[in-house]
Parts: sequence; structure tokens; C-alpha cells
Amino acid sequence: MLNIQNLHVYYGGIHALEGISLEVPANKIITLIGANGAGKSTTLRAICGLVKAASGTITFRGEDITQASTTQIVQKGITMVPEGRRVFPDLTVLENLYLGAYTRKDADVKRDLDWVFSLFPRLKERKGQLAGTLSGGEQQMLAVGRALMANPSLLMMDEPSLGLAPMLVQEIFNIIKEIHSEGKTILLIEQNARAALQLADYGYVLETGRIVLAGSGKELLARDEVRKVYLGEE
Amino acid sequence: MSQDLFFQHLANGISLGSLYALIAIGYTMVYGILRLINFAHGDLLMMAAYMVFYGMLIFSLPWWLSVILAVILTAALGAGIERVAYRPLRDSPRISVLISAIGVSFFLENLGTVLFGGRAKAVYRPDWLAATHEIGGVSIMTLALVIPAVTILLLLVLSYLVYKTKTGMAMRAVSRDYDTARLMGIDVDRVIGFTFVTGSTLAAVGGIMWALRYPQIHPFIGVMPGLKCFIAAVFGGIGNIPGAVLGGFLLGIGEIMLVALFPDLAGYRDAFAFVILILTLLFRPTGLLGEKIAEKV
Repeated sequence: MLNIQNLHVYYGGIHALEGISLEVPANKIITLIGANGAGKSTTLRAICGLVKAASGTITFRGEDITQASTTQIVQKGITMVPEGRRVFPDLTVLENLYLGAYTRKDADVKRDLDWVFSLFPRLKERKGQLAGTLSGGEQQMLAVGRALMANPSLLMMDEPSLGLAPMLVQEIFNIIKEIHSEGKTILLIEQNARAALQLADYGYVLETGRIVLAGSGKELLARDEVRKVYLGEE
Repeated sequence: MSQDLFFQHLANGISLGSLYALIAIGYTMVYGILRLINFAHGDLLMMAAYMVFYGMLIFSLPWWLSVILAVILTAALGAGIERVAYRPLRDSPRISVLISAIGVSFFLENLGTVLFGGRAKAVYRPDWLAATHEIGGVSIMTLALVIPAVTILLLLVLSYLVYKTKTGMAMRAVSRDYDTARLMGIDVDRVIGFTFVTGSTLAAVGGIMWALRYPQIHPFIGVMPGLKCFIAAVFGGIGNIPGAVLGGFLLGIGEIMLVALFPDLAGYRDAFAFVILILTLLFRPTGLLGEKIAEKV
């Protein structure tokens, strides 16, 4: 579904991605793991056009989207739950959700709203409330719900469990499974490498802008270098 | 001061204040979305006033058609300024855009001098606007009633636009966070352009009403109202639309009342606004209704 070939990205003078190639097949959960600054977020930002690639190609369903604008990319069916949730604090929960469907003109927006409310009943209770007044966990759910409102075929999530209490982390992972079972393809970034690899069909390990390891979730969980560096085992 | 006289001044202050409010909104909307003080905003008043003047004089158009055309052209001019002078500097430091705005302001003033001449021109004021009415001992010109009425009407339209429409939702989202707004599929440049169209429309209406209230125009008439409305926006809390309206009304009423209560201070009338600015910045830099805004990330 999504294919990246030899992607290079610079931030100012910094060479943030040094030739990344990866593949996200339809209906799979793919995860990127790696330390801070390895280039995970940059990869997602490049896919949705928020940073421009210096070279390389990004293809989505056979179409080259390397130079497309974020607006076009969202319309083609890729959305992202950004790191740190980034809900619009002075808009209501409902307004935030409708913004997620901003580019849509089809009649199914209401159906997706109902689906989001069934995934996150808490959001329905609080739909008239300003998003800034929600707790961290609720804001994360709003950010996920907002991204789903675009009815994406590829949903990218940047650290959805960051800063949440352990119980909520488990809930977020359950939600990801549920979204996946509805036929969405998922590209997930996680600090919580164990949970991410257990969930994912396939994973890539990034180090300083390069992919150093790739394999199925199970394979990566079994690799010594992954166990030592990312799972903290001896 | 007698009661009648008080209401006379109050009516006058409300009329001036609603003009300030209308113009201040343009500053505050642009600031809200670009974090830019659009110094060219005041000069749009002047351009709109001249457009009506020449529309009637040279093209012999009826006044209402001149007004409509002037509003449309000024809105287009405002959006054009954004496109040419601000958009190319989107990724530059904020100070560059500010300097660009000052440059556009000087450019418009001097362009006005070249095109229209530096001598002041008398504005035609229809008789029905200049007619006065006695209402409960207060004599009020029709114009002084029309100005607040038009302002309130435009405020209602604007609130509907900003708080009830999809575009308004996008404007509020963009004013918070460009990148996340883009992730919603919002075309940020288009929303910014639309914001300039809206602000410039209000400036055009404000400028035309200003020229009717003080029926003499020259290429620098936009400077002082521009500065004062900027002050009104800061006073009310820049970036906040209700704040701009409140600041505008308070400044207009305050200015008129100052002169009414202390006729000796009439010469310091313009200084009043600047004293307010200094006091606001010293004691309440976020303005009356402004929130504590952390530096935009």
C-alpha cells in the first residue's frame, strides 16, 4: 500500500533520514522502533508531507506522493495522530472531530462519528466540552478519533501511549487492535517497543536515520540486539 | 455636565467606538492567525475611501454601487498584499514580515499621494446621512446611528462565520497550530488568505464610514485611525475578537468623554490612546480579555 524508497530528509543542516526504504502492506500493522532522534517521527512527517524529502520516493497505492501537499495526502487516505496529541484546545470535542473530516464531502461522516463514539464513549459524553479541558488520556482518544474521522485507509500514530498511565496504555493498544480489525492499515511509532512488537505484523528498527534491522514482530522480539537495547534485557 | 449633554457625548462615543471596533477586528484576526501586526491595515481605510470617491466622481456610479465595488476591491487588495508581501516570508523570522508590513504601509501612502494627489478632498455626504434627529433632548446625526448599526450587523455576520461555519472552524484551528491544521487536510494558505479578505472587508467598511464621519480624505487619513485601532486591539487583548470590539468601544467612548469632561485636554485627544497603550503594555500586556498565551511553538 505504502512504499518508501531511499528517502533522504534534511532539517536545516542535519541529515535526519539517510536513505530509508520500507514497505507497508495493506491491512497490516507495521511499527517503527528506535531511540529518540533516530528519525521515526521524521519518517511519518515526510510521508504526510509536513517535511519535504530531499530525495527518494514515497508511493501510496501506486501513486507517487513525494511532492504532494499535506492536504492532498490526507484526501488520498493517509492521516496521522501526531506526537503529543495536538488537539485544538479551544475547540469543542465535537468540533475537533469534525475538523478531522474537513476534506470529506461524502454522506458517511455521521456514520464514522457514531463509530468513533462507540470506540470512545467518553468522547460522546464530553462532546460539547472544550478539548483543552480533557485529561491526557481523553485527549489522546480525541486525537485518535479525529484522525479516524478522515476515514483513512492508512492511519499513522506517533507515540500514542506516551505519558499515559499503564492502564490507559493497555486500552490504547486494544483500540489499535480494534481499529485494525475494521480494515485499517496502521503504521505505528512506539517507545514501548515490547507492546508494539507484540502487536505488529512487521517492524523496522531505526538508528540515526537508517534502518538497521527489520523483521516480523516475533523475530525482532527474539533478536539479541533488540532485547538488549530496546527491551532492557540482559 | 447635564444629563442631556452626557448622552449626547455618549452617543458620539459609541459611534466612534464602533468604528474603532470594526477596524480593530482586522488587526486582531491577522494577529491571531499570523502573529503579525499588519501595519498596512490602516491604509486600506484610505484606499477604500478613495475608491468610493473616484467611483462616484469619475465613473459617475451611484453611491451604493461605489461602496460595494470599493469593499470588494479593498478585500482583494488586502488578500493581494498578503500574497505578495507576507506569504513569501512565511518561513522567515517574524520581524521580517513586520518590516514588510511597514513597507507596504509606506508604499500605499505614497502610492496614494502619486495617484490621488496630496491635497485633501471633500467627501460627498448624502443629505439623509447628515440629517439630524432630536431623540429625548439629544440631537443625533443619522450617520451616528448608521455607523453602530452597520458595525453590529457585521459583528453578527462575523461571529456566525467564525463560530458556526466550517471555514471559521478551520480559521480557529489554523490560528492554533499550522501543522496539525494541515493534518486535518486544511489548506493553511487559503485560510490565511480568507482571513485577510475578511479583515480587509471590515477595514473597507470602516474606512468608508470614517470618511463620512470626517468628510475630508487625503493619503494619510488611515494612519491615525490605524494606530488607534491597533491600540484598541492590544487594549482588548490582541488575537481575541470580542476583545477587539470591547477595546474599540472603550477607546472611542473614553476619547470622547475625556474631551467632554476636560475641554482643556482637547489637544491631547490623540495622546489618550497612546497612554492607554503604554499602560496596557506595562500592567496588563495580554489586554482585557487576552489569555496568557505561551510563545507559539
